[in-house]
Amino acid sequence: MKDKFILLVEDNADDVELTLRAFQKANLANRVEVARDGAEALDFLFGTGAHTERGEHLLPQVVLLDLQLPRVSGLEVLRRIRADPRTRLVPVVILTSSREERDRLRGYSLGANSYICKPVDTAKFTDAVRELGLYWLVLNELAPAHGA
Amino acid sequence: VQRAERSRLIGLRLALGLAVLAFGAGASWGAVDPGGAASAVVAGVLLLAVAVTGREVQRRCAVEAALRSRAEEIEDLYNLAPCGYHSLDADGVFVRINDTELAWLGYAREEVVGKLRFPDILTPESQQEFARRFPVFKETGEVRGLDFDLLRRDGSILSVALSATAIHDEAGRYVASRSTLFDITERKRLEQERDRFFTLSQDLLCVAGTDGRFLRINPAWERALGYPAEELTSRPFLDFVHPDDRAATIAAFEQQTERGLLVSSFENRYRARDGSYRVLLWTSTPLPHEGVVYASAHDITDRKRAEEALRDAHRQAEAANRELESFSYSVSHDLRAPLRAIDGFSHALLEDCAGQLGDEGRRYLERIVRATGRMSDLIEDLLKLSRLSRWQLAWERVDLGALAQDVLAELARSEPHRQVELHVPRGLVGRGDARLLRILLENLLGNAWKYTRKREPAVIEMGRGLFDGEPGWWVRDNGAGFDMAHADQLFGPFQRLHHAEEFEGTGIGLATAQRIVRLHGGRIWAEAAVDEGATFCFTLGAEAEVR
Repeated sequence: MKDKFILLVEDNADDVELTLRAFQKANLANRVEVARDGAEALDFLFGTGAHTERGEHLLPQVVLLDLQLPRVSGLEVLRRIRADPRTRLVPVVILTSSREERDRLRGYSLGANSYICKPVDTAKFTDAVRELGLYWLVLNELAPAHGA
Repeated sequence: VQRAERSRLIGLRLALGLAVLAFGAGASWGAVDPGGAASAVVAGVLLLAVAVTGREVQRRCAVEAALRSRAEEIEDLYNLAPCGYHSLDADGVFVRINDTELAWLGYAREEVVGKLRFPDILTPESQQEFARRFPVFKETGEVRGLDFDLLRRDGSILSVALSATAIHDEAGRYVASRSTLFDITERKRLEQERDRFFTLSQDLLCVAGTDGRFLRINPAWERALGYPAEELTSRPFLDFVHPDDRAATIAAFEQQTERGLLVSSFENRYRARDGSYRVLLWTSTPLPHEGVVYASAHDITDRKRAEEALRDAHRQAEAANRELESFSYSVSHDLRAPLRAIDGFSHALLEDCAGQLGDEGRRYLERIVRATGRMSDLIEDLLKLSRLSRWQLAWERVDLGALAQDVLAELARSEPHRQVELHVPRGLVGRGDARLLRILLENLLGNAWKYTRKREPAVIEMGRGLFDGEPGWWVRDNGAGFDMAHADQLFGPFQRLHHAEEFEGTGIGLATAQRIVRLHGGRIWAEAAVDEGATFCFTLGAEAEVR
């Protein structure tokens, strides 16, 4: 249970802080790793770049993925996660401001497990983050092939 | 002939009978008196001679009778023929004329023969034609198929085609004409009618020969291309065709002249005199045995230009739409993010630092939070409105009554304490895009729901009606209504007729409603009075009719 964690891929510092605050309220803050853009997320997942020493044995319970990311876009990150046998079964939840049909369609087409639009209303946002954390860290059982 | 034969036979028998009688008498007399017998024989011979001569006379009579009857027959044929016959002397005076021609003209024979010249019964133009032709005819001895217009006694005109041969005496002097006239009035009328259409036609009509030249063109050609007709008919028509279209034109033409196939929807460009090109759409039918092609071309240059302009406009609209799409995308994403930060950190302040804030500070923060919520709603509605501009309508049968019941049920769930009387009859069926019509009703019924908040009882009705003969629907409430003086602002985005403190809203709902109605090809309008409720009526265009 202790090695279970969430990877939050989010470039907006405000969103990172508010998301972490929401996890804190659910007592899950110490279980969240943050990647500030798409490239960093990929390095983290595949143990490359700054994460070379980390190795690749630890994969998150879920990736919370923003779509609008600098360097490598959220959809590209998703595509690479699904294309690699090591990560293809990692659950990915798109967490974005965009409610556009096009984004939803592309997200699901590339194999997203869920698509959540960040509510502007903080109370709703906090609720959403708490439920996400509880669901993926506590309730959800990962696929057996997953290297946990 | 039979009668003549019979009288000839009777004559012959009579003579023979007399000769036998004379011989008989001579023989019997001879028995008494030989001298008397001899004279009887002489008498018999004489009688026989008389009989033979009589036979010759009878034969001649018969021939004459036959000739007479023949002449009568010819006379009959001459007079009763379905064509006119006449003969003119060297001065053009009628010497003979048949009954048919007299009947055409309405004259009696004695009024014409020896009295009138042929030109006397001709129209002025035909008189000129006659004056030109008659002297030549007297020399050459023949004319074929000349057109003349005869003036009848009653003043009407009869068109004839005239052929004639001249009769000359042994010295070669002209004696008379022998003319045959055919009534071609009906043919000329049909030709004139055809020519009238040919001349009137806006389409370019032509008859082309297998040599690649126009044999005949109508005036529309001159109007469309600006060349005189002679120029168009004197050069191969390929000269006028756009160089890039020549190969296709030759192929299409050969398909007709060689294989006898009909051509339709063939397009090529013809160069006008001013150097511009006209786009022609061809339909043609070949007559391979006669070596001609009949063709009609429709000048579609303007239509093509309009289509091109429309395509351009469409492309521009699509580009604008794409721009709007990326704009609304960034609005959706980039505008919401800072709002979320404002709202989020305001909440963080309220929760984590409440002690340091004081009542006034907390009140200010609450106002910031409310304003953020409002801005978020605005963004949401604006996005919905902008999404409509790139919506592809999916037409289907829609039960607007059932949709309305759905929407109202949802509204009732959101405010379960409200008591609202609803009147939505069955059968409010139309055709349209179900998803859009739902948004339309959400806006109209949402307004009705909102503005009847202070009514007891609140009443919302919906129905179907005919507006200027066009079927449509209406939604009525007994709510706050509005002043009709502001009715023109009603459907503009962000236009509000009520204060936000009184009735919440972004002012985009009716703009959205109008866009939905217009996308369907319909219109929307409202009738209202302050404190007396409002009625919104809408139509959905011709497609909305359930067939």
